[in-house]
Amino acid sequence: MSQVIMETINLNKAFSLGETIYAVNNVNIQIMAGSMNVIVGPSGSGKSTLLSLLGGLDRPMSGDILLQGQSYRELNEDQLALLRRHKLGYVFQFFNLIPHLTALENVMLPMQFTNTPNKIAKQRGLELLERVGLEKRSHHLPLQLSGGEQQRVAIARALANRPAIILADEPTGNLDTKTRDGIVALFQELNQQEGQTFVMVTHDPSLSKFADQVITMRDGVVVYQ
Amino acid sequence: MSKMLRLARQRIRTDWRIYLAALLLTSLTCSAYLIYQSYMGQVGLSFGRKTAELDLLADFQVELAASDLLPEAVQPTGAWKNRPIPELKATGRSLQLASPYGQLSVLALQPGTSYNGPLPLAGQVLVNEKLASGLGLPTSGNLTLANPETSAEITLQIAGSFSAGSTSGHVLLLYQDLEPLLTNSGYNVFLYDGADQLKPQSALDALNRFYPDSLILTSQQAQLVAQQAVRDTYQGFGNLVLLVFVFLTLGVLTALMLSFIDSKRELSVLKSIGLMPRELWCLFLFSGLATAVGGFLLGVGLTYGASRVMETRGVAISLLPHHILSLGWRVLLAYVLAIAAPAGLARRATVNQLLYDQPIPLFSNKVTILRRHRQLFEDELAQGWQVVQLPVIEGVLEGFVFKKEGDQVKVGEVLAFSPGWWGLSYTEYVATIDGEVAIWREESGILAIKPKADNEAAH
Repeated sequence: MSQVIMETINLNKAFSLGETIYAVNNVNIQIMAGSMNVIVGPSGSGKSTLLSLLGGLDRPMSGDILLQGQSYRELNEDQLALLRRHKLGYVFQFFNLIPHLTALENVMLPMQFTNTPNKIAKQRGLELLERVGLEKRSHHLPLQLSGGEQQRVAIARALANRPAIILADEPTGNLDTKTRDGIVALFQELNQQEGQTFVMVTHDPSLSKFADQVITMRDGVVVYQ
Repeated sequence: MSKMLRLARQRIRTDWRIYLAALLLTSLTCSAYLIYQSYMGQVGLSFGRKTAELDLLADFQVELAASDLLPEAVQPTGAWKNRPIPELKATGRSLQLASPYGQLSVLALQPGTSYNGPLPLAGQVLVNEKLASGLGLPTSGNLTLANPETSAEITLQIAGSFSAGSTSGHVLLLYQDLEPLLTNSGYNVFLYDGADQLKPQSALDALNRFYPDSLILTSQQAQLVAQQAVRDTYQGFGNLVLLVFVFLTLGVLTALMLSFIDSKRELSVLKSIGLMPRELWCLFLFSGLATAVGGFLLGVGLTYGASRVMETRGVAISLLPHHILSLGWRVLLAYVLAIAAPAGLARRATVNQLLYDQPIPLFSNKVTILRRHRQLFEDELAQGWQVVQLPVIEGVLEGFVFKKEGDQVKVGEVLAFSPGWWGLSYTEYVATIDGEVAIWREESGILAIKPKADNEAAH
């Protein structure tokens, strides 16, 4: 029986945009190890904010997140960075690759932070690029890659340090249908064959189809889990 | 460490234009500083040292009483025959005189004074080329010069023109031709080579015997006089130097801020994959220091090159180790100050703030207690309530409250938020107890939390 790998406890995040807006309002969710989780909901419902909080990219106003039992609240900024480094992989909607680094260098970047020897990092980088079908594009700069290819590099980068969980913010939101199908298949493969845990924010029903858990949000509140 | 150096190198490579601008600014500042220090050193602070070519930059004039004027160059006496001979010269004087072409700077030198070119003969004057073209001064005929204080006049024949970069703006004549215009004071300089082992006291004794009515200064005394004169003349120049480094700091700060703004997305990615805040500091420090060192070395190199070129034209620029050292720490200080702001911002910012261009406050403050009007809540505070007050200015609440009356709160929860300092800072009001929001008054900004135990007891 799979275990809870990540959970939120009364998580809150509000913004002051003239008036107080609760982007995440008292959210309690659980993510099981090896599961595919999809967060859906209309625009402005707080999906991406929730994912940012899960990824430690932003701090909640109150509440807590536990990743493998480790409370985010107990971590200072340096410790939170280490958590992101070792246990989390984040895939952005707009890929966010470093433009002056090649695909391989982008994938190797997280491994530089873990003091992985360059030779091993390169080997793993190439393996990951092969895994996402880009072994022949390893020395290309992001600008020389298509959107789908850039997203594949971003996925490979997220996998670099063998994270406990991968968080993806609308990973197919900026891609055409064919490319999107390829990315969906890749996620499915990584999840089903390698047991990688995913939490994804998406509007894409094709990703929801094979999700173990669909979390629906509206106005910052989880309405269906 | 090596990964930070690698990242710093990548940063410089990405924003090379910005870093190049900072490097050039630094090198020019360094060069200007070294040339200025060299000039100051030559006019006063290293006075007493013989320079290879005596020119205006190396020349400093000490004022003597009228009775002590030495109209002619001092010759070595017999007492020194068996000693290394010092060079003793009364070089002359520089002053402003009236002429039909307006006020002119006049440089009157003793015959035999080493200068960047030939001196005029007695009764003649040489005109600087730039001055001639600027004022329409003729390069032949006669020139009448007058002392505005005494109305005394002299008329000299214009023997031609001369070109000298460092002395542009002067007309040149012999000291003896100027004497009729002098009043009760004059300037004479005694320079001797401090490196020739001559005992200063012997020189002083000999000069005193030879010129018993004159005031003779040792180089040490002259140096003190010179230093005082330099301080008087260049009062405020020290501040100018300080200002130059303030400008350097602001220039580098601007460059690094531009680089920061330019690399927000990249920094957000680095943070999202685990770059620690203290590593971010190192990243900024290394890329900044690399620029500082590059600019510093380039500046010193440029000054050295300039000194070699100027040397061929008779102008000495001396690069002294203590000047280079003082420059080094000033540049370092300027860079550390300039790095602090962008590095601090990058360190404080969350990934989302960097990624989505959200405002990044430089300072934050946590408020957990009531600082004023505590007497109004004596009873509540005594019962363990937490009371805070948000700022209210002219009846308008300056902030946002995330809770309303009746809401449950937990320790560490942010209750309210107030921005300050035009978005550069913010204050968070944080719960220190578990409980319930019992009071919220928008008109006074008062927010009070009743402890959980009290709440439960009430039930």
